[in-house]
Amino acid sequence: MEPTTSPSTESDLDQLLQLLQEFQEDPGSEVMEQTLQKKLSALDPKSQMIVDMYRHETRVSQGLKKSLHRFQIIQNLCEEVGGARDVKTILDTLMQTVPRVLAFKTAALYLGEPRGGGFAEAVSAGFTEEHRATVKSQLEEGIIPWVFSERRAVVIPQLKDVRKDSEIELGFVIIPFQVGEKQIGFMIIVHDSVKGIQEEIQLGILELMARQVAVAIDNCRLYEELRDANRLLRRSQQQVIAAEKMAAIGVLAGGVAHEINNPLQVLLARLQLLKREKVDPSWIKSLDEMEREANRIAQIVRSILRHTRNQTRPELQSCQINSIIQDVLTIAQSKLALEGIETEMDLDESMPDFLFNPGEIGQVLSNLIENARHAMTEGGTLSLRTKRRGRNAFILVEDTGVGIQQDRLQRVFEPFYTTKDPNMGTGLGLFLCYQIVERHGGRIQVESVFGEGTRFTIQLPLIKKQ
Amino acid sequence: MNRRILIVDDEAGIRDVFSEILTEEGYEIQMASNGMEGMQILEKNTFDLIILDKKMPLESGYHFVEKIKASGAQCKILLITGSPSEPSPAGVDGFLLKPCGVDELIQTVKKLLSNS
Repeated sequence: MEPTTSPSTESDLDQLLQLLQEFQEDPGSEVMEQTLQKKLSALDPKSQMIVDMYRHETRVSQGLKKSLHRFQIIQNLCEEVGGARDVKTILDTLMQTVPRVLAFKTAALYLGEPRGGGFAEAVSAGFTEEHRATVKSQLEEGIIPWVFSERRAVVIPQLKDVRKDSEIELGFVIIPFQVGEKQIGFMIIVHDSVKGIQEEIQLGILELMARQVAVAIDNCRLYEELRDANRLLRRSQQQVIAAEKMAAIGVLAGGVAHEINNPLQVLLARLQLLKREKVDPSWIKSLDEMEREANRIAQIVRSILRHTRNQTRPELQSCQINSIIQDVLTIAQSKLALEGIETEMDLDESMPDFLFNPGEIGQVLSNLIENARHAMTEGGTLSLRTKRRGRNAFILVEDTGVGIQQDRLQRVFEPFYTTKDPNMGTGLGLFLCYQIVERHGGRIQVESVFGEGTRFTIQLPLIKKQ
Repeated sequence: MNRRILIVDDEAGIRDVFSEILTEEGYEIQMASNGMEGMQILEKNTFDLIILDKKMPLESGYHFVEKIKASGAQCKILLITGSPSEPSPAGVDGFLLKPCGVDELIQTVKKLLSNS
């Protein structure tokens, strides 16, 4: 290009300087480039060279600044996801960060199921059913498995024209998230144009992000598995400890009960003999009361001894639990009706006969119904339900009574723990229920809302007669 | 002639109160505090009824019942027990659940001896 003139005027030079400043702010602009080229053609060769060198340096500097900015984004991402304890936090952070590297309108992250079984959409932005169908076919056609084997982000142009009014070449960016051979997931970014993904560095940065996030997700899952296993272990330990405590208390109680019987025998017999003597009539009331209390002690002792007797396996018979429930309710019906308590039954007709001790389970149900009755002093509703689920039968006894406070709920199955008036209960009823159900290989649980009601759920294994 | 009853129980209080009740009813009472002592008395005397506590130290009520039967003694055995449904030794004629009332004791003894 032949130079024509140098910038001979101050105003030409000012204009050029102005243009160069604008160029510095936006070195990638095509308009800027064209304007600058026009101006350059008017310069002498030396000036052109100087301007070209300046333009090159500016581009390099801007490129470095961009790279630094992107790496800072990566570093921030790594810091945030590295410390995350749940996958959702990681995914949210990722979806906020990716647009800062590669602008998109549509993206989705698919995660592999922890125990195998394919990939499922975990988070997305602007993803439509058509996009999902495309991903499904990519999986089926082996495109995504191929991307995993490549261990790099891949741009697949023009997979689908999703806009009917114009044909636009789209870029499907598929980024694998892997930790060694473990395929954690993959990300799909749908870009407006293949050419929109202009720099290789963007793909490189996305790959780097994917590696960091994959490790973070994997760690999170491992942490969750460990935490769940730990919780399960602690719960099992607590159950074992509780069961052993109960068993030990039971044995101790049995021993103590036996010892109490002897002095109690003497006490009761002497009281009765005293009453036969010619005593002052004013003593009779006291003697009667003493005899009543002694008999009450005898009752408590008998309950305890009944429990310790129940330490052996129950005798099982093949029975229908629905019939037992109906029988028990029939017996309790009149008392319940007198106290204004309505009863509801919802019994699973598909419940098969299975092995259990009808007397003992009947006793459990009676105890629970009795407790429900005591809880509904001003009337209410007692519900009895059975449900068959898998290999277990569930029996639910629910009331709309006063409920049990949360801090007491954990203790209801303890022996001698009672929330009732001392004259109303020994605190052994629920302990007995617990022992009977456990010995059947089942579980009993309680839920309650203070002021609203209580629900007992008994789970028994559906063991059929061989 | 008065009916003779042997009371075997390791609890002195129970021996005394039972003895008082049954003496009042016209029975002749002898007492032993354990099975061995009871056997020694049994060797030298005859009884119509033996009232026996099932749970005793040194020798349980079970063993004592076996020994009584083995000795050929012709008497009824009334077992006092704290646990109603534990298995009972063969050869026992009646049970009383501890703690039992005065009337209950008297009626049970009368019934057993009336069948002799």
